[in-house]
Amino acid sequence: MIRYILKRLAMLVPVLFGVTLVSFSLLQIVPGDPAVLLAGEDANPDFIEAVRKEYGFDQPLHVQYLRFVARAVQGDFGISIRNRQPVIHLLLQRFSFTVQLSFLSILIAAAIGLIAGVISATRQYSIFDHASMVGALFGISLPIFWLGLLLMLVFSVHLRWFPAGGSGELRHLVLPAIALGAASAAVIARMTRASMLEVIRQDYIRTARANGLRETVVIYKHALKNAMIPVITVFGLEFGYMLGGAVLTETVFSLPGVGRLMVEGIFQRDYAVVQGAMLLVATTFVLVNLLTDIAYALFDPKIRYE
Amino acid sequence: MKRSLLWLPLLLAALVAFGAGEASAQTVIYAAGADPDSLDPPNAESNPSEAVNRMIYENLVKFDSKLNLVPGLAERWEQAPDGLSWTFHLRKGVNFHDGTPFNAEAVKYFVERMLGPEKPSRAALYTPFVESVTVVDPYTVRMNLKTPFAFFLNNLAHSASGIGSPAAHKALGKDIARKPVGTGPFKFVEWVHGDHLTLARNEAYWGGKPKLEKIVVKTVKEDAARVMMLQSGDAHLAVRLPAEDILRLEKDPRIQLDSTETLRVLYVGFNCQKKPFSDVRVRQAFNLATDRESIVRNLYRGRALAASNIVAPRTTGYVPLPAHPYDPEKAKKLLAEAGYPNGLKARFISPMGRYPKDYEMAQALQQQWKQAGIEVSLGTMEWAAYLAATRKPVDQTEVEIFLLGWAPSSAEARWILYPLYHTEQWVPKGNNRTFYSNKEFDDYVDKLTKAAVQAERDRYLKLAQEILHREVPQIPILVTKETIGYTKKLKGVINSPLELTYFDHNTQLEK
Amino acid sequence: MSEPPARTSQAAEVWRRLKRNRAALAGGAIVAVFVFTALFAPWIAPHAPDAGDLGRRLEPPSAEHWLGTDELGRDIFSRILHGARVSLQIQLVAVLIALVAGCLLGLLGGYYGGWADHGIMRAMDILLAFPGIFLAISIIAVLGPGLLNLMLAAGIYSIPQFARIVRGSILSLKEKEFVEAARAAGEGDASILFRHLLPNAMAPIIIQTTLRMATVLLTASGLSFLGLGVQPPHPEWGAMLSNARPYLITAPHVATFPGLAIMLVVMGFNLFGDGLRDSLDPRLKD
Repeated sequence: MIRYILKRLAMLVPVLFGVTLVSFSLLQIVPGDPAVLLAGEDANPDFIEAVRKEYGFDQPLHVQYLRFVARAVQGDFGISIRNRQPVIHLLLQRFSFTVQLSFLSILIAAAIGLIAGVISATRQYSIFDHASMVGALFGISLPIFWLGLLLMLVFSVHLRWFPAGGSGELRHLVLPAIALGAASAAVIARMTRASMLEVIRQDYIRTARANGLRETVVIYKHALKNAMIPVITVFGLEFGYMLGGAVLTETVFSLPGVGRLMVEGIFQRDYAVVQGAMLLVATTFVLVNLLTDIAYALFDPKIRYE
Repeated sequence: MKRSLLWLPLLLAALVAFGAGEASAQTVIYAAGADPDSLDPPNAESNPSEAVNRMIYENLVKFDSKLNLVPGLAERWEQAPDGLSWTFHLRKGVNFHDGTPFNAEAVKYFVERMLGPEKPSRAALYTPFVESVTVVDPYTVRMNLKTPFAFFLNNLAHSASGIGSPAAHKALGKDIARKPVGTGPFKFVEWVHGDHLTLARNEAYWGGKPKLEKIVVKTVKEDAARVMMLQSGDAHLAVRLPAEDILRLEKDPRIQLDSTETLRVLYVGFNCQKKPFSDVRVRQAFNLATDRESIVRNLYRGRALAASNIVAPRTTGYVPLPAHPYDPEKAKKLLAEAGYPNGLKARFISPMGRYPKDYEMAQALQQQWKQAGIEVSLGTMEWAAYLAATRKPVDQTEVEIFLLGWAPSSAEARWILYPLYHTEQWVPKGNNRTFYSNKEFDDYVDKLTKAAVQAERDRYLKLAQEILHREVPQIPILVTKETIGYTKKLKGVINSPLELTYFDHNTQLEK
Repeated sequence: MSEPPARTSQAAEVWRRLKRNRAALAGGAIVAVFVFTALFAPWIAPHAPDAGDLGRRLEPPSAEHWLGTDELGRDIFSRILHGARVSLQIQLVAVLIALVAGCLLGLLGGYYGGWADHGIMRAMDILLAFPGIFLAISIIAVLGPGLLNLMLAAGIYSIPQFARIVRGSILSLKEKEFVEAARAAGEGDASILFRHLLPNAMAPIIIQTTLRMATVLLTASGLSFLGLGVQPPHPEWGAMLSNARPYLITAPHVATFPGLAIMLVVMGFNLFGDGLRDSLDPRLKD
């Protein structure tokens, strides 16, 4: 197991290297000069020259790239051309926020998804089953920014239960977490239902029932545990995407997450920020995948990693 | 089984419980449309930064709400008869937020920084004009100019001329951009980038203790979210309100709206070096085919002003010129005269979301020009690519017709006429994106710049604006209005025509 | 299963099962209406999609404008009908790009294994680890926003999913006896890949294609929200919805109808895709 984990972690190196190379090249091809952009509509040529020099944009491309890699290896991602903050500082700030939002979202998604999925499976073709599956369908069919705006309209403006924007307290995170978690809840519900339906038909569940175990025990202790593996995959994927930043949700609710940092970085040609954010997101994605695989082993002792 | 269903309402109830809560009454929450970038005035390039800087820093000379020049950190000043030097008498007993004193040395340090090797982005406010600075005594400073300059005081009142602590700049260098130290009524507390920026009152402010205790400037990009925050009470003030919501907000008894005519003119520019736009008749045809009144009335719901001049009315040096008529028939005739009896086709680009309703306006123009037989294909780019595309030199550019806005941040007309239309200022060197070139016009601009006497300055201003009105290297469409909304409890909000909304020491929040 | 299954009988069986799945039929009906609208929009639409009257902006639904008018006084109903064309175009091209590229990469990786597989899958890992939105934004920033570039961006975004699915199927299929048999009969790699392996991996590919049609539509609308979508006069639903944000409170119909259109079509493809999955999956025989 440990060897497996180490091997997977070693895979991070080529992936991250690839990510930096691709993102660096893409940023170079994208038209728009960071210095010109910083100078704005009434640009001053002297200033543009000075900025290019300060940030090393006047150097040949391979020098720029190698310099970036050399520094990044030491944990130095440079400073943002926009606001002169060290990129590492921005990343930590934004990532801690993204983690909070992702946790709350996945929590809501898991709670709703698992409950709906299990009940739907145990009462297949009941009204609840139909209703929750239709609900799940809505969850994956709504454009997320529209859902966010609608939530805001109802719960902030009309009902005044939650604030419409801003951050800092848990109450600010509730609506965004629901908007972000809705699609995941839907996916989890569908996956749980399908997986449960399959498990419930297995022999050992029949045996358990025949042995006179209470239905709750059968469902939650035996069936759910065995149905969890495909659910965990979905879980890991959804969580991975959330941690990668949810730019649409963050924009609608004005939240300072990694997604907006990256997208605004691209729009502002803030190369250092984009590079740093890309590395962060890629690392997170790979690690979450690894954690998902480890979780398999916990739920299914038959799975052994060599 | 049944029990598990109980979780859902419980979860929701718990979440709602978190929802309750009210911000401290002493704190004002200001919903801005974008992140500030630099908090170092000479390097600040965006309105959100400038608005914050106006609360942290002060200038020698200030703009009042009508853009008149009034004393700031300088109590009074005089100009030498030859126009070549200005002497400023400074306010005494003013300290920077770090406790160091504000005096003539600080002013000298500031101006020399502008002139020096650091090359701040706004250096051009000083480098072409200022020769040197002399400290006459601790509270008197003299600036020596290279040539007389008609709008020198405007440059001193520009946001970029907010004077920071020399000690802080010596210690931090350019990083003062994130740890600002000024003399203003509010001092910097923290900046969580992308989220909020906090200012606290400067207890030792020379003008008296500011009434507001704390200001939190939140970045709320989504227009609809800013409006909702204002309505739900999550923000005390919101800027850049969309025109449609204004009609509705007007009915809300708790909200005060303030619509200020800005100095920004949105205009359509032509590549004047390229056929057919090198022909003034073609440019006039576009002009005649443009129904400004309809755009202002319908699209902007009256929250804008049809423009006849690239200089907005509240700009110093504005000359009233006759309105451009809407006459698609005459436009067709002009096109025919110019050799396009069957109309013409062209490419038109517009930014999206940079200015209020920019892209909608571009689409409306596309529809209107069609009536005169002009078919334009409309394209947009994100802002960085747009700036890059409109900054290419004349022999490389692919731009034919473009939409942009311009507001002179020093509030005077020269800042429009020179950078946008002078031959010396063709992009990429300057900001003349139309490649307009007219010797007579250049000559007037040069003369008005160096005019030591105001009457002379104003004469050339008029001549230069009349040429642009005749030759239309761009067609001005409208002057924007900046509408802000705030709770009626908030008194003394400043909504400057420079598109800056900020507070001073007299602003207060009633219980 | 030593022989490749007879495909005609299998198709008939799938069709029989699909017919009994009401949800799938409903999904199929929505998709059919959508495709019909896309094909015949110019003949159905009561108004031109780009003709607007600034004096009649944001009007609520009326007899003349069934779904009201938008921010430039254009008929929303006609724009939605024409928008179906744009949406279908985006979906088809984007999914086709992903399908062709993904299948090829998956086939090659899965069949040859070893070095090729390793290289391809690591490239897919990089692509997956890359936030999709960054990729899409970069592509659009390089090429400029527009219909074609949007399709390209959404397409490339979906390549890894196809590659992974195809590779997975091929890995298990290539050990089957019918592959051995074909090889023994002297068939070349290309023939084995495209005549034997690909047809047998079709079920998951078809499902993925249908479901991706849904995702692509949502991706496109997200890109429009970020200002990188289709440019007027093309009436794309995502752009319509996104541009209607300022009028969400004052004229909610402007956002509601394109939003509903996106939702319905996404739902249609999802229902249909799910139905296909159930019908194509032999384990779910009842």
